Amino acid sequence: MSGRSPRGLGASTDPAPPPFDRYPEPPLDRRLDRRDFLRRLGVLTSAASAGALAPVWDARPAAAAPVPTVRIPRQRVQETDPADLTVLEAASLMREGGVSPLEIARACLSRITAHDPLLRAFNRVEEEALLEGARAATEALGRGAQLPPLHGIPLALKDNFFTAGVPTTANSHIYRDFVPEYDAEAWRRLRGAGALLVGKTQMGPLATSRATTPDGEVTTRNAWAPHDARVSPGGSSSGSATAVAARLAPGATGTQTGGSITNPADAQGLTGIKPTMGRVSLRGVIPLTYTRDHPGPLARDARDAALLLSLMAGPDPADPRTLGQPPLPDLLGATLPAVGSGGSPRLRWPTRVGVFPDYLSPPAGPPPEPPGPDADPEEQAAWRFRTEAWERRREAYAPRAEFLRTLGELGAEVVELPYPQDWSVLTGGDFNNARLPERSEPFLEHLRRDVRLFGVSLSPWINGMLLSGTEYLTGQRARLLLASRILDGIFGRCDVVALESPIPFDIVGLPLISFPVGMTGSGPAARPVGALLGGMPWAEDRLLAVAGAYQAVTDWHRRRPPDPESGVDPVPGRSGEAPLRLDVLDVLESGE
Amino acid sequence: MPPPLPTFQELSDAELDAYVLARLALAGVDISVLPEDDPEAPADRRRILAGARRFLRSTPPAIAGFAMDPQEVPPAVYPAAQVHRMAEAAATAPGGDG
Repeated sequence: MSGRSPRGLGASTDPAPPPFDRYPEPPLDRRLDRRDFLRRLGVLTSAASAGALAPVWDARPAAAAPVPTVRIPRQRVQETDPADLTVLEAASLMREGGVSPLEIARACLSRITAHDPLLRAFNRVEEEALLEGARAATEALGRGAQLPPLHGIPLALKDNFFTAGVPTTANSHIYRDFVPEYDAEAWRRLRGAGALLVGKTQMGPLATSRATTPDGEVTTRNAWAPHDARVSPGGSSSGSATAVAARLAPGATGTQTGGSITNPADAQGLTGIKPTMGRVSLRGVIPLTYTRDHPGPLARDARDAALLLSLMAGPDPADPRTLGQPPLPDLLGATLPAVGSGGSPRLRWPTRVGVFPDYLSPPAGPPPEPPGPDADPEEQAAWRFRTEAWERRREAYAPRAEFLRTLGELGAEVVELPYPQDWSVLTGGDFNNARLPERSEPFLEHLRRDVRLFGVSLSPWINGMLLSGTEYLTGQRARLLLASRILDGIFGRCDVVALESPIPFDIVGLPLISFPVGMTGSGPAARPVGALLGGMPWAEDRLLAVAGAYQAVTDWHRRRPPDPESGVDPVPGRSGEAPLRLDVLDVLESGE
Repeated sequence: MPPPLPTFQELSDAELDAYVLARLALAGVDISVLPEDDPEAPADRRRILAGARRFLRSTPPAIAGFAMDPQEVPPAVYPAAQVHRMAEAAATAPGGDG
């Protein structure tokens, strides 16, 4: 990178951190009162159904926060590949003249050329358009104009976000030839903030599993295990995660219905946030489940995740789910820790972290017994799924004690929680399946036309047609019961909760964040391990504050996977290597 | 007097397959275009019906067997917004504590 004169980019400098617990504005989750919630539930329901409750929130969009300056050591600037910069680092360096949009775009494209034939993070790379946009952005930067916060920042988009004039396939035969006429609202906002499109990323077909072709051939590899296709990159936003982890793009979008942002973040050492239902518009996102789809960012740290989410979020008249929400708080500011009496970072707000009794325990019992050689395909698929979950649990539990100890040093109070009543039933596979009719309904036309269009994903679409309306309604009622028990039973005792699985909070639409807290294995077998935290409705600021403070005193989020070794592993499909495939019943078990 | 209905555990594979195919036919969906049994195909009838039987033997009975007081728990397709709105209203309602 060359040294250039500073230029304006609408920048501000991070404010000096306030003393611990002296912030004038509490996090959003403390601006409501849960007392008497359960006692009043029935009464309020009646009032609401009679139209007695007026809207209580402001629907105005939050003002876009300026991008703060991030201080980067001179030596790091000189030694760092521009593709390794975070979004905030890149934006900050641009306005100081340390790097140009064109240099960043070329650095990303160079790495894509070198590594994506093996990693397969992308469905499609928009090389020419990216370079053209980056040249224009570089020229605008040279004119010293007041520019938007993501000016010239390349981003990767999951291939279920509409992109005007650019094919959007969701890795499905159904959308093989689909070219949207307009941008998804979330992408429209990011593009309006100056972002450039690197390309569309690989995903599980229709957002169901780890990324595969429509017919189930595994495409995307985990950036931490590029030579072992069996290591999952996390699904279904697999390509977005691999792109960010492998430094093919500084940031990306994903969608989550059953862990599809937080699981890839966990698997690849990233910070991924799934916001509260309605924070980000779903207009222009290919639906999987109307009531559970959540767009959100996959980023290299909490600050990037906060910036990207704050720019994606906001009310959209075309998506009623986004209306009537509390104004978006300053998410980027929330990631700045406070300073304790000795000058050490502290959590921005006093925070109780809830953990369930088995959070620090290894998985119970031995690994699942494999089925016999004559077992049915569905038994084999179920065993593969249970074994993968058992292995992941075995790897994940070890760093948790250190994670909680660090949070304690930051000022958190760790409290043990009992599981809410009926937790395993209301969050288990059967009640999770209550979502399936929402898959079948919007795709009925395609199901009627030819079920083969669904390729390896077909099973859950068929099963969704088998649930009765009665059972669907019971499932929706159970969601409110679960939400009320979470609000009262969990958040009556803590402010954030450490979770084993994203499914409970996906079911009820509550926010989740995943960020790296350790490593397992060593050498080529080293893999990141993440922590998953859940918050109250619209508590993204609280979750980002915890992640931001944790990342201020740890460096797990700065670990990068080594580049794939050239020549060690054949590029799939080019030298006789048998491709790894998912079975239609594997997709059914994945629960995404 | 008609014979007693079988419980869901007693339904045979053939009975469940007949239910699946009839239900799909009512909606105009035809899975006969899939190969009967082809492990190399992305989906075949054998695996689709096996997945459907597994689903039917577990999910509908589990959901149908869960009882809730209809006065207390209405359906909520967007529960995060609903519980927040209700808690906010509880805190500001006349006589509230909040």
